[in-house]
Amino acid sequence: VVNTLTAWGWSEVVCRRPGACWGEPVPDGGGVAPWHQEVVRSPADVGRALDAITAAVAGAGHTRKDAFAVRLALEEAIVNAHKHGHREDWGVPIAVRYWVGAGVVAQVEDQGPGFDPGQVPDPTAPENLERSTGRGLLLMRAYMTLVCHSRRGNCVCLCRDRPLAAPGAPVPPGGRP
Amino acid sequence: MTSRRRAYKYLVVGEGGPVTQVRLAGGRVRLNEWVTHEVAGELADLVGGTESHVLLLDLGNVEYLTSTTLGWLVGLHTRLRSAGRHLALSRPQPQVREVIEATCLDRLLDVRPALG
Repeated sequence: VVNTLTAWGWSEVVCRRPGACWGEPVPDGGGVAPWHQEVVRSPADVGRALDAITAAVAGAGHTRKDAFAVRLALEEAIVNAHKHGHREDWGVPIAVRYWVGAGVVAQVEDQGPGFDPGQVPDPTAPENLERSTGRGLLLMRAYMTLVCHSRRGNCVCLCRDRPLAAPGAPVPPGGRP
Repeated sequence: MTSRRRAYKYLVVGEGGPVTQVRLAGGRVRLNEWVTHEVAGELADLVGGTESHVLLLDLGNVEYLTSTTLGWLVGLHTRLRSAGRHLALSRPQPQVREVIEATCLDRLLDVRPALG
């Protein structure tokens, strides 16, 4: 997954289990589960999109913990797209694409100028604990196996495979067994 | 003294001396981006209308929260602290505690396993 995304020009690839993902996340045919797409233009659309992906995750046999993680990470990504990408303008649609199979891949794309995730301060640093920035991105990274951004920074890709240790748990060198 | 207490849609309030206990109305509460804003508005009103030293927010029926919720809780903590008051969070469900710990806010916020 990391190699594929890197080849596509995605940056800031943060994988909690390097080399241990389930396979290529581009199942365009060959009898593999299809991608779904939602267009988000309102808070109600956000709820509908999150309900749909949560149901798909549960329906594919993933755990409630997986469903919680995917819902949380996806809501954080959509809210970031709305707040920062579109300056809270619901007139600009947000595209949400997802694929649920042995793992889950979701992409959230806004039409804003993008951002550099490397410039987001670490919200867990003692001096930043009371600041409001960066926690959404932190939660995405804590709850998903892999989080990466397009080069422009207006599209985030979230991947989760299973099993995954608890968020915040240290990753041993070389990834988990 | 006339109570300023209003009827709340999202909060259930029990006041006892120096501690104001608050829980979220309903069975299973999902504090998403938009519900958080509603709850925050009601709680700001409550905080302004009471003088108790401690605000004890019972999270026992909260099954989901986001970074917006956490940001609001941090802001509330800071505001109360600057007024010489205190915010305590009690009974978080395991997945809620996990979110708080993933953001290291258990180092900042007073999170208690039980009421009291």
